[in-house]
Amino acid sequence: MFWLTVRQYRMQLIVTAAVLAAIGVVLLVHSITTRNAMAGLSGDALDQVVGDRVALMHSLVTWLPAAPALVGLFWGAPLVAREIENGTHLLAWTQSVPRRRWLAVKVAVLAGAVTLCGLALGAIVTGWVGTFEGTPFAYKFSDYGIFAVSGVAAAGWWLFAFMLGTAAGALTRKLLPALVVTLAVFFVAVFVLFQLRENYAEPERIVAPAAQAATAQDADAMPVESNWVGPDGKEIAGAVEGCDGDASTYLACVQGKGYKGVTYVQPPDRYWRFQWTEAGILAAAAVLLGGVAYQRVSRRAL
Amino acid sequence: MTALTATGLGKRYRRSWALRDCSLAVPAGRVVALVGPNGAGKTTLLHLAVGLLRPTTGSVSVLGMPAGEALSRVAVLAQDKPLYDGFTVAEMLRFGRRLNPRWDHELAAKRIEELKIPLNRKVGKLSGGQQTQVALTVVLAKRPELLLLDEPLANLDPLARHDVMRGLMSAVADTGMTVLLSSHVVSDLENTCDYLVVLNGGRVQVSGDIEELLAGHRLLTGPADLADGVAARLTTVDDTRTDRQATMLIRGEPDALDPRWTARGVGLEELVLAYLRRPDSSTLPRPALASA
Repeated sequence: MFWLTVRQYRMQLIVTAAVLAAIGVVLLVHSITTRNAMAGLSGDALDQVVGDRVALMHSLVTWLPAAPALVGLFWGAPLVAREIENGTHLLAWTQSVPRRRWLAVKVAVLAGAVTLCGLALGAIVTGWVGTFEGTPFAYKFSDYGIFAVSGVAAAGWWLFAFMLGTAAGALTRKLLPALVVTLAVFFVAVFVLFQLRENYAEPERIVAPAAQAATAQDADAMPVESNWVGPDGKEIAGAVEGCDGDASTYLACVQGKGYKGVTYVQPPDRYWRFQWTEAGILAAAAVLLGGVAYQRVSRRAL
Repeated sequence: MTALTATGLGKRYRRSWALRDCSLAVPAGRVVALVGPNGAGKTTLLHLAVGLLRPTTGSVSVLGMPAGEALSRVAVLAQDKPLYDGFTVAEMLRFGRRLNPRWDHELAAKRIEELKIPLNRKVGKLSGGQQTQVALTVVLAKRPELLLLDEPLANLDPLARHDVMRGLMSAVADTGMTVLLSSHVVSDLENTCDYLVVLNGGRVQVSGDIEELLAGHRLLTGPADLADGVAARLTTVDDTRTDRQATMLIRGEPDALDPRWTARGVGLEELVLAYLRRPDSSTLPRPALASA
């Protein structure tokens, strides 16, 4: 079964490994050259250089969170759907290996491979972001996308997308609908989880004078909510009554009335805690989806 | 011992029954012809027997085990002869070896060599006849005790049909396995099968040893005006009449007949066609479940 799985996924394995290697090389080269460019610089000059260098990779890194969708499409969806569509399930499921084991081995081997690939990507991106440590561009926590493709969350997303594709294929039993379902559900999941992320822990409350309210937190902190808190200790979400005008007059007016800025944020030192939380949620979803696929393949009359 | 037993077996797809109230016992060691028109339920029966489908009603067991649990002892060649098109012939054999503990690699390699099929050719690039031979090799090398073949000769030219049949028969002679072979072309099965099952409209119509069936039927030909009297005295399966002449397939030996009647033996194809024309006729007891 191991041989069969590897043989049938030869192309996916080769292409995925090649793409990861390419991304790794590009980001590694970028990281090394950036380090060289940063040497000896400080202050605004340093920020200027790093900002330009990061912008160079922006388009590549922005798209990385969508990579798991490809894993769902090319690894997950065909697993059951293509066999049924080509009629080869009649061949695969009538050998001496029971269907349940056929699925279990395939999913175990491929899920393992996908998870390893996700971890590799996570390590690559984590290493790359590490280059900018100490500059305002080390956004591995507050940046929705980079958070999802660094650390262990990357592996969570890859595994989730693979199992999503597999379950979709087992449910639809046709490749095209399986691809559509996989894509749709994946992007819904991205949307939901990116919104949900700030709730993984109780946020920290930072009170600062009105003028400093916007810059009181760490640059890479994840902002959750910001309000005004009055002298009476009551928080208000909207504008402070009786104040308007441009930004500086407004702030002066707010401060004059005794208001302070209160920000709820997730501090960046919660990075790993959040990483494991997100990976855990995705792994749990993957297990559920695996159960759906298993149920469909082993019980369902075809 | 029976190779395949079905009891009240039925399978319903969304609206219609593909197989209904099917009770059947196929003895071991036979080469069984499963005959019926397209849509008679042959494929459904075979898929139920290997556990690819679950019955809606009743049960089916193969080699004394519930369907689907005897996978290593049963092989099935599905109608479209599914193979992995991107695999080479060698990889297809490796697939068989990896997935079957009783795999006979020597047999597989020898068969492919005798057929002069190149091992490194992609399966998708082989001719239809060669693909069928590769698929047949994969099921034979599994060394099954029961081999189920679903229309193995469909889409083959006459020469390939002959080759496939000959390969199959020599394997049967070597191993003594039970073969259940479905077809809607009776002439393919004459001379190779010794047991007949006729499936029609989802029900079993005939089931029995072919020699006994042929010996137990007679074809009567005589004047049409006497036909009613003759038909009343005998068990007729099929009765076709023109203005002057009547032809009747009857079960059993006719008693003393008017000399204007002739009785002769019947061929397999005639027998099958006669039954298929008369779905109400059956060699089996009437089903107890008359109401649906």
